Amino acid sequence: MGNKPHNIFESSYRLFYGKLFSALVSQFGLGYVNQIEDAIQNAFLKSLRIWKSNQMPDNKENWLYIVARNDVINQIQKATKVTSESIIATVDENETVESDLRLQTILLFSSSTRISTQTKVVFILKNIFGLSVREIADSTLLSQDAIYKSIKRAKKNLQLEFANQPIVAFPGKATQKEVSIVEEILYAVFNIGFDSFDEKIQSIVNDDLCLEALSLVRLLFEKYKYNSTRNLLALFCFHIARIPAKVNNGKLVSFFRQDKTQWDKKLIDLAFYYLQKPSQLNKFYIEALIVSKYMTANLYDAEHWNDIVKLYRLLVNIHNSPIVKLNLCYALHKAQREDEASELMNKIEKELPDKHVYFSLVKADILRKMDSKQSEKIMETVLDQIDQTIRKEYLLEKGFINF
Amino acid sequence: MKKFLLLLHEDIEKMSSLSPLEMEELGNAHFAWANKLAESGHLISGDGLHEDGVLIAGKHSVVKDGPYLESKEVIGGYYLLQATNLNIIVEIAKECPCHLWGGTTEIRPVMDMEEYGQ
Repeated sequence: MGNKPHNIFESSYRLFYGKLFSALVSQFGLGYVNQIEDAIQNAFLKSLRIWKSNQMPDNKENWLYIVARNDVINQIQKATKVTSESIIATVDENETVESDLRLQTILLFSSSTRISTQTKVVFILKNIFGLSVREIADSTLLSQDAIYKSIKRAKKNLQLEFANQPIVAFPGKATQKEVSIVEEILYAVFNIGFDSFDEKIQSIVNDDLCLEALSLVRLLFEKYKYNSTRNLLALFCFHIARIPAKVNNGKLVSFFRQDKTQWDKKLIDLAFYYLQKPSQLNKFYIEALIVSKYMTANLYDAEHWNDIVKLYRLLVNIHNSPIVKLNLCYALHKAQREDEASELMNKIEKELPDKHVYFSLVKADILRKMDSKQSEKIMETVLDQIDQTIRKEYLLEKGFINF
Repeated sequence: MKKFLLLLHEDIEKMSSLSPLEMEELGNAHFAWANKLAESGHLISGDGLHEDGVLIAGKHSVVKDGPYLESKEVIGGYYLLQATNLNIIVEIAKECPCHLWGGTTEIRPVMDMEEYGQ
């Protein structure tokens, strides 16, 4: 399944999902969100059974849209026993899905005052980016159960809040807070694409998610011009520039061993163009700065790592997440400030779930010199937890963490 | 050449919980598999089937809607294949993408006058 010699479905179903969802919500309203989800799922299943090399719609997206739209109409008719005329009267038969309403839909959901940011992220990952609950669980610290509940809650509240709100044009203004939530969401999507742990996908990078996130962030920046969005764009460009060097002959290549000549020079230039110091520090600016330091350093010596430590300290002040602290911890270790690293590690351990993979890897690395037996033991547990072959091979060969 | 009907029993629950990406990959896998069979000359035809159908039973020809809604499995499609013997078809069917998501394939050799002598 990994290789696709005949890629008939070529464009991404994930992309279709978000576009169809946004278009159908704008037509039928959020009151029918359950029917819309089922209809899109059914349309995809139908395409699996019907499409063949000699039996393929000219415009696949539109075919899916019409099938899903008719399915929604059927469901409404069945449930309400309303005659078809009254529903069809409100639906334009010739409508196509050409306009892309995803960003507008994300903005609308972001403006909700009834649901938490995390719930918004989960809901949008599912319905705009077309990830399944399992895929979201694989890529976040959340359980499938929690995700189901989140989505259910989100639907209920969004329906109450925006039942009759049309999703048509871009709101003329968006506050920094609303834009920040959209940025968070798109950043989460990007990270899921950039470092996929999905066992079904043998390649490490899910380019489609990264590129979709990038294109929506670019659109967001063009519309509202916030500095944080601009620096998020810089961050994305720095990361995407390295994708060509990230996997070589089916093997994952650690950041420090990548062939830098394979990095995309144009994207790095673009990243520096977008990187811009804000009047008030924001986390994307610091993160982009950290990546730019890594990517331009000639030597990874104590001086380099001490610089990185400084930047991570700034970042922790703005965004105090266990993962950021874990990165700081690793940088301290590389700067040979072992006492500070150990102390921080003990603090973080309490904030993360048991056997957290990334934490275990950092811990194993830090303990390697001090307590090699325990370090090996941790590595063994990590390997047991990881199903993805490419990642396993990488860890076995390098015994080292992935940047 | 003998003919074989390959029936694809799909697990309804699993199929309807697939993510868009998984469906896309499944679609591509089916397409690649069918293409390979067409190139090797084993494929005669194949189609997907609607989930709902009609059952007609008894001497009064009572017509009922398909029974499929209550069952966990549904025949989602079929392939009509040809080969010199069943073993070849078994090897081909093992690779059918239907198995990726809890599906079962059933091979039914098409009866042929020649098997039963002159």
